[in-house]
Amino acid sequence: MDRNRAIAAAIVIIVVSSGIIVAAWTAINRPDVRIGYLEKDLHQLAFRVALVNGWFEEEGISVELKVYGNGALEMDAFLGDEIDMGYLGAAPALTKRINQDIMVTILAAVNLEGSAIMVRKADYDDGTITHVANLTGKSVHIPGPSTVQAFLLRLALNQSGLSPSDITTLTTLPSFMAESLSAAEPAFVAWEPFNARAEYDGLAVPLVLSGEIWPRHPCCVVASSNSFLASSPDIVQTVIDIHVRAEEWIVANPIAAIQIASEWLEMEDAVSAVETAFNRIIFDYSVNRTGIEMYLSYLIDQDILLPHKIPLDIEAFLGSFINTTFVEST
Amino acid sequence: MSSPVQDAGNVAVEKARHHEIPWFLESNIIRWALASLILILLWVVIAFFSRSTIIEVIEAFIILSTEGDSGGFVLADHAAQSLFIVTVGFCVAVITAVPLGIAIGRYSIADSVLGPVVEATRPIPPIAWIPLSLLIFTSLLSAQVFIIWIGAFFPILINTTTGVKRTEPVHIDVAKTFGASESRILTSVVIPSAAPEVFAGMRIGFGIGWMCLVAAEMIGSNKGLGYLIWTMQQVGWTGAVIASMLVIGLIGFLISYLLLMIEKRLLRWRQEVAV
Repeated sequence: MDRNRAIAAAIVIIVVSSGIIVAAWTAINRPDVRIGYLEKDLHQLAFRVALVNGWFEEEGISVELKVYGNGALEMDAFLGDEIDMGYLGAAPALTKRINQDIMVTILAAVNLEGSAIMVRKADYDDGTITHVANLTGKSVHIPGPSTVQAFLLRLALNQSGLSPSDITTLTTLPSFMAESLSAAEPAFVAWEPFNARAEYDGLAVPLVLSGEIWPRHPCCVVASSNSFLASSPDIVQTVIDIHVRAEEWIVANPIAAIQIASEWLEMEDAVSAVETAFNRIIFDYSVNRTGIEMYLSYLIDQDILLPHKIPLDIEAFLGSFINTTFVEST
Repeated sequence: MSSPVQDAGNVAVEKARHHEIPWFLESNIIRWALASLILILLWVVIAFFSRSTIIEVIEAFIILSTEGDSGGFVLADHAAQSLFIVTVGFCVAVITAVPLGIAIGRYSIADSVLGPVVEATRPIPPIAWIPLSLLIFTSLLSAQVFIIWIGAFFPILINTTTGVKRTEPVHIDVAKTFGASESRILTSVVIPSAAPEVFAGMRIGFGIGWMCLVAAEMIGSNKGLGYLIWTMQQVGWTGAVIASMLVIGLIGFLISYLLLMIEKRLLRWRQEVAV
């Protein structure tokens, strides 16, 4: 009996002391800011540029990096208090801000445009599909029903005189899209660098660039959790300053930026593909508020937002969801 | 007709089992109450981390069952699609794994040639096969079935091999002494002897195949319970995610139970089997 008590006591001591050590270690090593981003996403090149050029160290702030598979997962990380700020798509930020009450604020844009409807090269070359209207009766891969890419496809269909019911959409991970193309599923909508990579590999060609469907449409943004914004406005300002500097540097130094992108994407064997992708993206930190409002209308129209969560006053909601004062203060 | 020695043994085993159960768990009502309590505690933990309420889950279940998702598919459509993919993948796994398992278990040449191949490929997780499946198959459905097949194949194969290898040599020797051919030995001795393990492998294989569902439907889909979880996570409708998870769990449990019933019925001659 005594032996059992001793074992039980030892287990309790080990568990409690481990917890204390982990908590103390976390508190001691807490960085100034924890930033989430999407790995190897060319849209988020500004963040990579800032890291490679050592601008966070230069500004004297310590950063903990957290990589996520998609923006929806990154929003869940905001909910779980894993990150303070993040580079992610405006679409998941908006959708999950409303549906799950994940309190984040958009502070700056990361890029505009940079997506495309891609079609199987064989179908394009033989003239079977050279226009969006030719997709009637076919299946098209999209990254998800609540993504900007799904909205772009819908706009393109409308612009070509079709309705969404004229095609079938399949939700697919962008990295699998090019390999999934077939006669029945000849097209996909994705962002860079997946499109340029598919083109470089001879699997697909662009049918329509997203800028042709919706000029200067919103895409990735920098967001902060509202609690971090309230508690550390100085750190937020520094991160936004670095972001603006990186955006301007990319525009001023495209060749060096493409070099950084090629290494980051592990596409040094395909620099021309990276360059193609790079040239389809507008690197701009100005938030397209009208575009986000337009996208919000789409989410409401598609029943993607939970009815009881839809903001009654859209203007007031967007006023609290988008805060450009940090960019303006740069 | 059992012997007195067997009867005495059975009584001893029953007594031993009886003594393993604490007195307060002897009542079925208390057992059910305890199981319910554990489920409630589990839900409390899930609800805390997912910031969901049971009302939201029920609401999501009702909406998905009646109105459907933004694509217009109701929960039954998603469940039917998932069941179709898993059933096809599972059936293909049974058709391929059982004969191969018998060959590896029965014939040393097959064991020496195929055994290392099986051992080398078995640890590769089904999800890791996704990129290759897209290159191998031209249709998404085939790629999805392939992922399920990978998940279900190895448990069935390994259990079949083990079952065949465990066949009592004396039974085979007796059959040979009476002049039985190899095919007769297989059908009358080896396969019946291995059947319990084969069935256990099928139940495990189905479970793993069913677990691969979300991964398989991430390849590309517009229907299915895995797809529903994936898209509802993106949309941020946690109630729908949990409702879909519960449906997956319920269907998995029911099918596992069904397989157990089939096993009990077909193998009445063997000892009681349990989940």
